[in-house]
Amino acid sequence: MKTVLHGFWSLHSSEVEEAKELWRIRESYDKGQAKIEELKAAQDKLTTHFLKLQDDLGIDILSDGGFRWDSSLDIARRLKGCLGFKNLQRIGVTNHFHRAPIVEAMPVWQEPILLLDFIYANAATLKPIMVHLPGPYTLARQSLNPNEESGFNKELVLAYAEAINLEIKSLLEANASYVKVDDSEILGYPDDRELIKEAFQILTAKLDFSRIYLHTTGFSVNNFPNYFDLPFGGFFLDFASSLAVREENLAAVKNLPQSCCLGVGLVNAARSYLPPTVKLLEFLRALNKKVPLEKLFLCPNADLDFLPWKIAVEKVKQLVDVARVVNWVKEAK
Amino acid sequence: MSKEEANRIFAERHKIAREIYIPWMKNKFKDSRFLASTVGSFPQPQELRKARVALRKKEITPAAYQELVQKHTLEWLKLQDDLKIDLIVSGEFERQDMAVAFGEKFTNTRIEDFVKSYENRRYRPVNYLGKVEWQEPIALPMFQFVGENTDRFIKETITGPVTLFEWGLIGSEEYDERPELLRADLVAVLRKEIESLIQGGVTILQVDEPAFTAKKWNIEEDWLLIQEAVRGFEEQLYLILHICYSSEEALDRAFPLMLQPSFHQIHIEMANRDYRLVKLLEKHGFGDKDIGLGVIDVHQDRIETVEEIISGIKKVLPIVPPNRIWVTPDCGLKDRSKEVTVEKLKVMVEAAKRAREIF
Repeated sequence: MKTVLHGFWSLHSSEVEEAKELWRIRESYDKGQAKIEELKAAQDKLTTHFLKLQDDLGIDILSDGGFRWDSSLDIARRLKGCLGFKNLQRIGVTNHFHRAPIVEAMPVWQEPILLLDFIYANAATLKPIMVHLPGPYTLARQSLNPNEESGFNKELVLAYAEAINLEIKSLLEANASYVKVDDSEILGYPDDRELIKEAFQILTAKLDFSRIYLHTTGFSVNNFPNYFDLPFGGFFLDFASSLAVREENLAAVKNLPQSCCLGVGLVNAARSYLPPTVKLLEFLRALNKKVPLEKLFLCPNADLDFLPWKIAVEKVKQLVDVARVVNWVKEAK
Repeated sequence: MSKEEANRIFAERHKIAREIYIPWMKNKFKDSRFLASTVGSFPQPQELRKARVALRKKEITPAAYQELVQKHTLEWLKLQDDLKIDLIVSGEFERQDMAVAFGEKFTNTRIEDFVKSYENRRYRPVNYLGKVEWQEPIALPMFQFVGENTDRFIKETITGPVTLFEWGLIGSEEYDERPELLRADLVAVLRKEIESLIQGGVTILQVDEPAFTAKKWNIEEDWLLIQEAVRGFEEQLYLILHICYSSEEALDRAFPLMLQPSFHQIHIEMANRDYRLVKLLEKHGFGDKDIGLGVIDVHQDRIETVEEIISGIKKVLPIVPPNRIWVTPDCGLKDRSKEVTVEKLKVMVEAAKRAREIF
């Protein structure tokens, strides 16, 4: 069993010098008082600090923290057809906003977007990196057309899928071990499942999909019949946002194909409360009856960027503790 | 009580409010068409932000900080007078953040380190660590200070239960296992807060609920929570529900709910989306509600023109008559500079005046 951190990490801290410096430089940059090189250097420093922190904490598969991006949807900026971003829109649950991509024409991939981020992070640590990308359905749901009305339609979903396919190809060619696609919106629209299936076929076409993982959070996968037939090497599920979601997803994993891994979103990324470790262990015992331990990746149920830095670190420590105990018990047997 | 029964009682109370209270309030104005108001906050000067940090580090006294807050409040009371804004607000200079300002005054809470809001913006979330209870009036002291310094109608603002819940952190085992308890406790403390405001003389109260329409799920459940927070107060208060920067899909779902009692006015941002949300009014109607029409985009420095505001108002007129339209910014003006804010408000007041002449 491995531990994984995925997605964005808190950009701010009043104690971590690298985070404070990045905030100061970004303030200056936004006012035209700092150069892009200074901003990039500060992002590099915080990324390096965060990679080391994860390593020190004992995480097996690391995230680069996403410090270079305002939101995961921002990768649409680099696709041809995307005019840019305008309206601020709140993201459900947290007090975060994102800017909706304004899509003038069907988005087309032009060049690698996250490759340099991956190469930087990969060079800064000996541990593997999990790269994270937004899914095509979520991107399309959040996009607007130039009249700023919802740009959502079938063609847009499929165009995003094709663009992300090429992006993943560039990452896999650079030897990225793990690529995770976050597409939680798919669970909110069960009527679109045929479209979603088609999009994921395009997204994974001609790629080694054993290295590509699908992540959803906030809902039970029961909302999506035959979820595990989707063409991914693993599925990251939410086992923490509520009791109902946990129980339903626990029941659902009996259908997980033997060849697939399971990302176990064990700690709640939206709450500061740390449940007793023994409760998490009890849950893992129940899960282990359905999925072998070597197939499990322990992780938070979502990005940890909504939690203050120190609290997020405590969550990670607990995750690592749980994994250690389970692995000890396994070895002892 | 069944849902139907509750709705019947709500409807009855709402009718009383509409027939007695609102005409009384509106009679206070020479012309109640296109009343000009603002949403709550005004630009937070650097001096005040620095003082807040200094206060946290105990480098200045609470009295010195309070003096600074009052200085800026008085300055903006005069500015609102000079600008001829019909219904004034305090400017919320005492609040560093709309959720934190209330959450930090409840029992068993702690303000945590920064988290991201968007781009480089950040705030400190409230962590609910145990049973949340109301201790003392939170908004009232500032309302009373404003009342002592103006004879104008004052709009007071509080943050609603859904936003306090969604933007805070759950830090206790009890709330983690049963988040509905925290939701219920937040309603209970807000009801006490509202009671204290009524006793202190508040007659116009805006409940800020930006989190309500940010997500697409649990909308009905969240609406019941908001209704419960203001239930029974509609006879004593003119109640405004403020939402902004919603998911359009969520707003579409929330619209029929918002048209139910108990709010007398729904405030929606329009300028930021070039009045695209008018289509939701066309689809759902606006019942017998007043509308707080957001005509100033608070997320950009560009100054609107009188003509574009008039054009925006015109789009709403087939659905809401002039005496039920309030002309306001989209949201609070905390993030704009003082100069930009004053220019924007000048145009807004001029547009409201022009609208009274034209329509």
